[in-house]
Amino acid sequence: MKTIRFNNQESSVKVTIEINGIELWRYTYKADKRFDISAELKKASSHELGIAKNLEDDIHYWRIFLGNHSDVDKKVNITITWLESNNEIAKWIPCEAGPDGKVLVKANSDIEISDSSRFVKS
Amino acid sequence: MKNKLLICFVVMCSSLNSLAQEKKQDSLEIRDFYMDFAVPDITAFSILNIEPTSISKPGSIKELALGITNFVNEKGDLRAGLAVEWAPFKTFNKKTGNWENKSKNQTKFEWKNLTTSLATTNDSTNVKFAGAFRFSPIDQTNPLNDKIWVDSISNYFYSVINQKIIQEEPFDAARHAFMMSANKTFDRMEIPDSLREKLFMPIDAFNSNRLNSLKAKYESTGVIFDRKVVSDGIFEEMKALFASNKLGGKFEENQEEIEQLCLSFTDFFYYYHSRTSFQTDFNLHILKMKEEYKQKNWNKWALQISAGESFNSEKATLNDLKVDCYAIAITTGFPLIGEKWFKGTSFNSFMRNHSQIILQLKTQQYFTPNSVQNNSLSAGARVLLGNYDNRFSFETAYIYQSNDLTDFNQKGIRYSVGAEIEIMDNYWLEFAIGGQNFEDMTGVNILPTFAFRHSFGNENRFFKK
Repeated sequence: MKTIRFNNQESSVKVTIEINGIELWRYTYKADKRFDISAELKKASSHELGIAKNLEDDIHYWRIFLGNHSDVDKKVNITITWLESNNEIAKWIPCEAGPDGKVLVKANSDIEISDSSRFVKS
Repeated sequence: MKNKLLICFVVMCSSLNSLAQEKKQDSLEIRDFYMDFAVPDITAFSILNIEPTSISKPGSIKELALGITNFVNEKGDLRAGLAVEWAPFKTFNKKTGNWENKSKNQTKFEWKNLTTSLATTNDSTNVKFAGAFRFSPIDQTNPLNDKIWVDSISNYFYSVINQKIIQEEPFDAARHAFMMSANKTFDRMEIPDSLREKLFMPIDAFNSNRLNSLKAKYESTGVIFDRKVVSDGIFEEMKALFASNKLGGKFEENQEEIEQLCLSFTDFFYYYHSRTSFQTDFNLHILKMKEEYKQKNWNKWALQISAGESFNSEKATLNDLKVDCYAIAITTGFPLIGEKWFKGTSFNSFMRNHSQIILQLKTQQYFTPNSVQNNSLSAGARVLLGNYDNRFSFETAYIYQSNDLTDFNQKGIRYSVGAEIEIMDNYWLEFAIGGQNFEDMTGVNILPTFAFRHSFGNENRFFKK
């Protein structure tokens, strides 16, 4: 669980999810009933999460599915970035990533990655 | 490219020969009759006959330049030890270059399958440098070049994942509720962020080391899951985590609440452990689909080109480099008859699906000859009739070898007729009858030499993969 600290109660917060290096992927990003975001086959997706004060103590969680239909192993760049008034306040890369920051997806296979975050006022 | 283990059983008929020819026949080996139609591995490393322990594979121009400049300085001095393999497609943005030419649903030409290699090595006095490329611009046997096939796999992937997400929604909701309540507990205990991240690891990351080690721990002991036993295990781990964060006192104060948390963690752990039933069969499905595609399209058009050149420098400088040797190989395969030939007939349909011709041209020429390395040129054709895993073969090749230093000069033709069967994945059994017709060194044309041979080996004689 990643702790995300925001600064200003009234500023807007958004999340950007970027997946590069693989053709087949899908993610879901959820928090309570308010967000239920999913996307596939896009280079990067940006989603408005709302005003910071409404996010306090929220727990957001996401699941990322990667499929490699080629005959070679693929290394995938996955980053989730949270922005407060367009300034980066937190960045996440999966614990499955290697020293080069990339996740290995073996040939002809799929994997699933999951994690969560908690919003706290700094 | 997969390495195929070929079980090669070549049967050659024998016939009468002169005594001289019998002597020659005694020295013949299976390779004398063997026509290798595998695409030769021409790289900077193979051409220098070296096997570097690590090959640098730069992902950017900067990495490539840095990799090379370590071995070639501004003055043009060369150092041994360079081993670089570079694929331009992996460096440049795939979206900006025109890497593929497509027609309807098929990729017709691919620039992305270009790989280059550079290497340097040295012997007692000289530095040698080599460069090579491998290029597979056309491959209609590859399902990934078929948009309809790729779309069907994508649809399968997304439908399985979507189904899984729907199936697991109740669990997601339960997990979320638990995490909210656990966080409130940790808030009351004033647990720092760093420790909190670790405590949540088992339910955060499906593939986390901690989850896997928990699984391994209980699987290895053969313990039937008992909620209390697992919970106690997690309790002990939490205790250790608190202690390592110098929060042992806090752990003692809140022991009862932590015990309850551990029981909840255990319930999620149970879920994860049984979660294998939710795993996708993507791996099995994709391999099955690829096999089916391969069987249906085994004989479609493919082209592979590889070439390399090596240089020698006595002064270990770029300016002093002299060509040592070069090697080129071009291999192509396609159905024996064209799409429009006998169109609409069953003959066309049969031959389009059950025949393949492979053409190959190979040459290696030396500019600084020595007594053991012969210049060689071969041009061969291989016709297959049958199915992907069960077919007749007809082969012939013209071979020319020479060596200026030893005055060796030989040219001739090899040929064979046979059958080959895939007995299991990548294992082939082959029967063939063949012969050869070579001029001897004095130019006297001798009768074809036939022999009885058999061999088992790991030769990869089939075109592609």
